[in-house]
Amino acid sequence: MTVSPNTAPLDVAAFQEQVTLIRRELGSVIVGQERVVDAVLTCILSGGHALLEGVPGLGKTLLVKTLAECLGLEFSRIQFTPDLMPADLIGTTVIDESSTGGRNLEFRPGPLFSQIVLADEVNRATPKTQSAMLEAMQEHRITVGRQTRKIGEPFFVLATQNPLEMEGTYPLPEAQLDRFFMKIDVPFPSAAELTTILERTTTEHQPHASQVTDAQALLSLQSLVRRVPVAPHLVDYVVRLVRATHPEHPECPTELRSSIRTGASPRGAQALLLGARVSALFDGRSAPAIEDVKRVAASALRHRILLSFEAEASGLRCDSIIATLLAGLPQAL
Amino acid sequence: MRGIWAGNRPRGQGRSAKFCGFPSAGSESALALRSDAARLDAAPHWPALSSTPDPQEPLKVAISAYQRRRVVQAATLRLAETAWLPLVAAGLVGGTTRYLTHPPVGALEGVLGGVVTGWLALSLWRSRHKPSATLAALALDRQAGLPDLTANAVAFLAIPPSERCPLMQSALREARAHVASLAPAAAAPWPKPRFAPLAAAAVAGGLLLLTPLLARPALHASARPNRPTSVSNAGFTISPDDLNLLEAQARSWQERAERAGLAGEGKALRKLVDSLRAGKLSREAAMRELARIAQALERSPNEAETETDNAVAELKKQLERSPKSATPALREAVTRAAAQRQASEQRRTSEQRRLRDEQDSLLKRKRAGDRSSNTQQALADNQRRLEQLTRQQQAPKQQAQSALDRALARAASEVASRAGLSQQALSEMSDALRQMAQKQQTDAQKQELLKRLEQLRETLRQQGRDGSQRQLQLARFGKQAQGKGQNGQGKQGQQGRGQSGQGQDGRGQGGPGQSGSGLEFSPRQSGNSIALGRGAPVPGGASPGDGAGEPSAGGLSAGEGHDPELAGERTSALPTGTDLSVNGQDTGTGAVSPEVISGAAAKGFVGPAYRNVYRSYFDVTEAALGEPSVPPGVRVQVRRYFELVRPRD
Repeated sequence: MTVSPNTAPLDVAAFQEQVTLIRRELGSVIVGQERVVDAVLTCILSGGHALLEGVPGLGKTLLVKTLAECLGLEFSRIQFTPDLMPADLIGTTVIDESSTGGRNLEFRPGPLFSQIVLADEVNRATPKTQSAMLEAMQEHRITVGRQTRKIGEPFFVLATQNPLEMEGTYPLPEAQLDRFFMKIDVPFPSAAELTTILERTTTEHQPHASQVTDAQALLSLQSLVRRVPVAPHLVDYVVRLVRATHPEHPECPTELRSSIRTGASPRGAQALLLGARVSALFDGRSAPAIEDVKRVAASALRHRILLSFEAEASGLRCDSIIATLLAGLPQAL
Repeated sequence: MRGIWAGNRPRGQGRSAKFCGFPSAGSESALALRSDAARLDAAPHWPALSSTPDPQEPLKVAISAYQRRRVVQAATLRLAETAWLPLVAAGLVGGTTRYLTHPPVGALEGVLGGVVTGWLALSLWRSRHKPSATLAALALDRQAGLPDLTANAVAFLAIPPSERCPLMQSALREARAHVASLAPAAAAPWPKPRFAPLAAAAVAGGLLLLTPLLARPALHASARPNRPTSVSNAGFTISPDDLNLLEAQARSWQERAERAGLAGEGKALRKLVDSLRAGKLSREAAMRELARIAQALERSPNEAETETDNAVAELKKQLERSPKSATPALREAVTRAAAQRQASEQRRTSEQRRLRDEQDSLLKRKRAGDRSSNTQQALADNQRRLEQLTRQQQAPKQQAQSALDRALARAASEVASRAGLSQQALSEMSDALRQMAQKQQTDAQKQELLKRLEQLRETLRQQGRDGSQRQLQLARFGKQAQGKGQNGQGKQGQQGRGQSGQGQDGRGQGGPGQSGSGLEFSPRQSGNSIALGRGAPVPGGASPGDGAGEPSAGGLSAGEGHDPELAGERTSALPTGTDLSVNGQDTGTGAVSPEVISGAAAKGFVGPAYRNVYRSYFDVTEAALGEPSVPPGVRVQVRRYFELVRPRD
């Protein structure tokens, strides 16, 4: 095997410096939620999409807006409602009448043609509308009529959903869930964080984030992430972990087989490995470790493991299953 | 190169690049991932430090130290786990060496050596596998708190330096910077085996068992004291085994000879053996001494007793084989023993008389002035012979003084008295048995004889107990004796059944006995007795047991059995209830039809009944959800619910 020498200008230190800047700027607006911020950054730097789940008022929308400001990316927000149609997302072709009286068809791109898309309350739209995002999320292109149009890079969809208000919602189908790189649970802030939130948001002064990087720099960061070398034992660990989520595989613990209906897809393994790379770079390391895989495992797998009825009826959660898997899986064979 | 490296490889180039490049096609990624997974499964130890260019690589040194330590630990633990094997082999060999008269010492030592060598070789062979470099590196990282720096470096070291990307070089630098914190000894601590207390207890127990086994003096220890070397005498060499055998025989002779009045010959033989062991004797002198001892033994007056000994020994064997068949032999042996005893006494008396006469004549010749050496020698021989004869006459009285002989005599006397022997027969039998016991070579044989007599005496003593035991004893001894008399036929009582609550405890009823000739056991009216006589029939009588043989209404004790159908009819496992279907008016919107779904168990919602109900309900639900009045959000929820409660296979 021949590997050409690295010519990328960025190294681990530069990556850390960039990320530190972004974190600091986000922190000026978003109080606390460091784990959520890191997870969202992991998704962006890995080139994936994030699904934020949390009760209303936790700053999900504010986080995405601030992130767009920091990164200097084109931002669009879509409030998903039951009557939202696919054309409202991807755009439509209209008849444009020119001043000379000529008429031609012109494509008016929808809000999906952006770099950071906030799909707010994504589970309130119909499955038909939700499915309109599938092609854009996976392939970064949109087909309208007979034409396929590419979306500018970087492209990042950050969807939010409310776990409480299930009335009038359409839970995302498994195929769409799998498109999300991570599903991030947004916890309620601590008392200190809540105090800070009150201090910041109830005065005349509104916090504002400034741009610290641009799209090109973000692409360089994403490129560096994919150049991070991975040792074979780590790949083996990821493979065994993903196979252990499938009840039909021997790696799956016996006590969990009746609790899992479907295991994680290969996209889950990809998310684990890419997330581990980003995690290693966050710590200033040149290669990921098993601990990095463990760090991102819950976010990368929790929406890809479908529980059985027995598990749901008994109140079992995906996070506990993942924790059990991580605890019992040997680090190397 | 094995392994998967992102590096700067162009996307989509090669399988590894496909895997790490994350192409957009999910199925392609899945295939690549699974094929890589299979390859990983097939080769779990990819990184090989052998390709490391620098043998003094500090990471390699640390990993090698860890691997060596693990190999040593594995070998030690395996040796400790199987330490019982050489211990057992040593115990067996040691015991065999000590307890066999002629142990194949060389062969046993060879076997022991082979076992120990094989045990060592096998244990070390099975412990030869060292942990892989990756495992060693991971263990070192865990101990030092490093995030897989060493493990990653091990993988990157397997790549030629020219092919390493900058991030790999950076990872190697990071690992080398922390190599000082790697501690192989701390990463591979000596494990405390869980079985340590058990193993220690087992070894201690084994040693405790083996110690008395090995410390117990061997049967042939006196014959082989410390395996002496051959003794060279003047003109010939005698092997130590022969010498030991001769010494043992001399000791035995001396013991016998002291009773038989041949102590001089025994001492002479011991003296000869000592001389031979010291190498003082020539071959001719030794042969002469042996000839003299043999001549003296040939002159011993015990020839008559030898026949008695043989007869008594034969009697003993027959008694052991069958008391009944031994009875005529006993009678014959007693008669013959008495006759031989009388003849022996007569020979001794005549010999004494002849010796006294000869002694008188020799004394007269001596007084007459005959001082020749022949006369002196003849006088000394006569005097010694007379003393021997006197001792032989007094020997039975002395031997009877021993406690063992007294016990033998008492046992024989009791046996004889219960067997109905006459006083003369008692005396003769007691005498014969005592002679038999006196001529036993060892105390162990005496003890064996005493034990058998005690058993017989105990058996006879049991005859005085209750009827049932007596009946059982009679039946057993009757079988042993195989006499012609009919044993009592008792009807075996039946254990009562609990169904009626009345126990029936039947006892055997003694049947009429008829004594035959010889020694046999038969029940008689006064109980049971052993008839040793001429075969005159003794009128047997019915000897009822304590309980009537016929089943009576209720025994003295409660029955032990119970009715097999005590629990009654088994409860049917099938449900006895019926499904309920009620039609009623609920809120005016329509009929409500509650239905009990049999089979809708808590586990899994399985069963044909539930499946049928589910299908019908699902169809109705789907039809209802199609109506526009149902909100879209609710439809998803309802469908989700029915998806969750669908019947499972």
